[in-house]
Amino acid sequence: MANHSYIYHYAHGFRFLPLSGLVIVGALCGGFVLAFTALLQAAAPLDAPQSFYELLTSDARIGFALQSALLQAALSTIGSVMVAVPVSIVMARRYHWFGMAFLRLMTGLAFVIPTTVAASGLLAVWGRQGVINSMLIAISDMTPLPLLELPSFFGLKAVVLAHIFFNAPLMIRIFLPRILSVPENHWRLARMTGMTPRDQFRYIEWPAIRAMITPMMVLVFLFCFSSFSLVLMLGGGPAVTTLEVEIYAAIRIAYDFHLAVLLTMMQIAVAVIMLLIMLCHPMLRQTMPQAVTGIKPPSIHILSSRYNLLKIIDIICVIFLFSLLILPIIALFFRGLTGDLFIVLAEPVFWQALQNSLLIALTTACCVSILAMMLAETRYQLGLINSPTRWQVVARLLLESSVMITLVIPSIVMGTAMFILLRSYADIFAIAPYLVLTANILMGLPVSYRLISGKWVLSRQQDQHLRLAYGMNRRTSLRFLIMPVMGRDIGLIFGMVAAMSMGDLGVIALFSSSDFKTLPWLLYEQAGRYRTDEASATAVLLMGVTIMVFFMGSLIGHLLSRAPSMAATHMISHHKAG
Amino acid sequence: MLEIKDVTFSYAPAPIASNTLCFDLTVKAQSITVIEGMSGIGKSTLLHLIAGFLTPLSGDILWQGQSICGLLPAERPVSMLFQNDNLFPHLDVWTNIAIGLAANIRNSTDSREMIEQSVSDLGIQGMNKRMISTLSGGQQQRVALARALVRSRISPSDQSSKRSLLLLDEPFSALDPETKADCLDQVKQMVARDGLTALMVTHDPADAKNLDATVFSLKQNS
Repeated sequence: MANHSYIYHYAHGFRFLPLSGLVIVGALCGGFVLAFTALLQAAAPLDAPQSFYELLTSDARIGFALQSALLQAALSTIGSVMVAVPVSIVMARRYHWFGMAFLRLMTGLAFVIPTTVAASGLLAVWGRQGVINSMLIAISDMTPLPLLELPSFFGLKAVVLAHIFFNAPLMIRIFLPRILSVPENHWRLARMTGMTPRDQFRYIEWPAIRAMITPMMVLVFLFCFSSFSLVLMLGGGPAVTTLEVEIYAAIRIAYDFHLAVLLTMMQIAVAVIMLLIMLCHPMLRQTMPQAVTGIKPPSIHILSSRYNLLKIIDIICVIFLFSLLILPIIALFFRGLTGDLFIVLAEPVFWQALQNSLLIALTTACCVSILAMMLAETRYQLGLINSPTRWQVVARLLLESSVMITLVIPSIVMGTAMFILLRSYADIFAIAPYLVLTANILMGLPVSYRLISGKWVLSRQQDQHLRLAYGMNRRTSLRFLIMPVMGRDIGLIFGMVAAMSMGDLGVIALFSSSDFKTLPWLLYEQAGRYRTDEASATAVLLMGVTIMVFFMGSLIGHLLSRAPSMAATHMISHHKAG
Repeated sequence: MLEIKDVTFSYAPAPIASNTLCFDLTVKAQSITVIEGMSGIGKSTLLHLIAGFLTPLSGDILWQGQSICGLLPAERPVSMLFQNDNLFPHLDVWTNIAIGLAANIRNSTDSREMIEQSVSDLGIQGMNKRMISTLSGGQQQRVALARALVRSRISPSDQSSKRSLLLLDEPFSALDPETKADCLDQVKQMVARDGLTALMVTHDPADAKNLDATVFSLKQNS
């Protein structure tokens, strides 16, 4: 009896989905087991009878990479939270100020802007040939002052600043809605009891965000710890590094596969710890969906207008955020558009890289959108059963954890595992596009699944009885019930994944060759050869294309979510009948 | 005496006669007055205008003969209870009441005595350290009343009169009849004991009867 609705439901469509979802989960788990086995075999050769611990501590680079990654991740996390907390408060209480809507939009765009573009933007402001340095030199030339010049931007400070550029907006996207969702009567109470801004922080704003501080710090720390492209572009040499950068250097520069495998094993160990932390912290799992959803305006003004000094402090805060987020983009645009834009556009290699990037990005987005829907439907189907059997519980657990694990394993590690696994069977560089595509799909899937699964399951549960009562088939159900509700979310994940894939400088670093390049890799090559103007132009073009594919997702979402209406048809037929 | 003299207000950016609310009434001091009317007629808006959360387009609001329209909410002789979210859930009972004395809480002997007295008057002794989420709906509204009470017993810094105007925006509408009657009884006692002037918005005609209150009915402006 308990399973009656389950059986009846199955008779009315979507029968194939749980099975195919479980096949995806099986493929993911199988892939991980295979890759892990290959890595273990490569890590422990028969002629080296050392313990695993000894192997891990055998190379000084491993310890140094760990130490360096920990330091830059800790500083980046502290810096991000120190920026995000005051700025979120200012953005909440000055919600209606001129230009704030643009700033809020920019905090969202930080998810879309490729890391390579951001690095180029920061260099355009803080680099030797950047805006600030040029201004200082000009001032020195005009005055009798000694030559003013910024020190080299590369190194720890550049990496930390770049991480703040990406992670402070992420934190703001989490903190700001929490402050804005404080009940309006609490703001009225604050005004009635004459709370000063300090009291308001103590009793209202801080309690609103306090619960999210630790999970966000953990999340940002994890992101920074496994950072690759920013450290590669801005680290300025071996002094600032991460395990990922060392893996890349071991494979592509030192050709030391043994060291690469050891580093990969180390990174997997860290990833497992991360996964455990994430599974233990329910708040962490909610952060990504919260960060990409819209910010609702406050229904009342949340501060008395009499604090003039505070207004000055708030203006300083807004200018600071502007210079952190927007100045690099403006400087990059200026340099990119006035520099070697036409030289870059005239190069066939640019068009080839653009074609590769677009093909990979759009294919990844399509695959991830479909797979995420299948997995979400599988989760719904598995959750539908009132008294699940043991295998069904196991299947649900496998579904959650196999999708989650790709969230914590960096793409470089995936690439290394693929490299080790496939090098005996195929020409790695010949199949590079497929490897990059696979890695991008694996990278995009967890976030996409997290974004849609909750709403998908809820909406499917809500219209379950209606669907059954009217005997809706699969097609009707998809057209009238699922797509109008989920269309925009599917469009969002399509756009996000396409943008992420477009700007990714992860696994391509391992598999790029003269025959196969993507735009981010081309940009990295140009920057590495100190062709700054060309790199800036490529960065501007890359950003333009990335934003375009992101908005393509919004358009797809809009089209998918248009609720089909029979009203017009009905009225015409009624009129004719009359 | 509270006088609301030809006060007009509109939520619309371009106020015209059809979207403008007009209020003109006089409330006797040290009494309970109930405001009735349909949903959306402007009952809560009237209280928010008196409390200073909204600014009138025209007219004046006088308390004891003096205009309070130019004062900030914290400077007005007002304590207000809302229908919900009256208390900060992350603070304990004591701190929630103490905020009524001063947002910048100082644990002086005077303030402690004042809070203890109001806690005792409202019959909520022994729960000072309890968090708000552990209280029942009735207990929560009593804590909010206690805060209004301590607030009514001190003077605003630059005013000689005390905050003896108690505005109640349907604070007991979500309570069960028994608890609601109990809370209304507490309001009656507060008004009688401390000489407060209470203005309460309600949907329930029985409330006015239970409070022995004067009733004003707000009507659509024709």
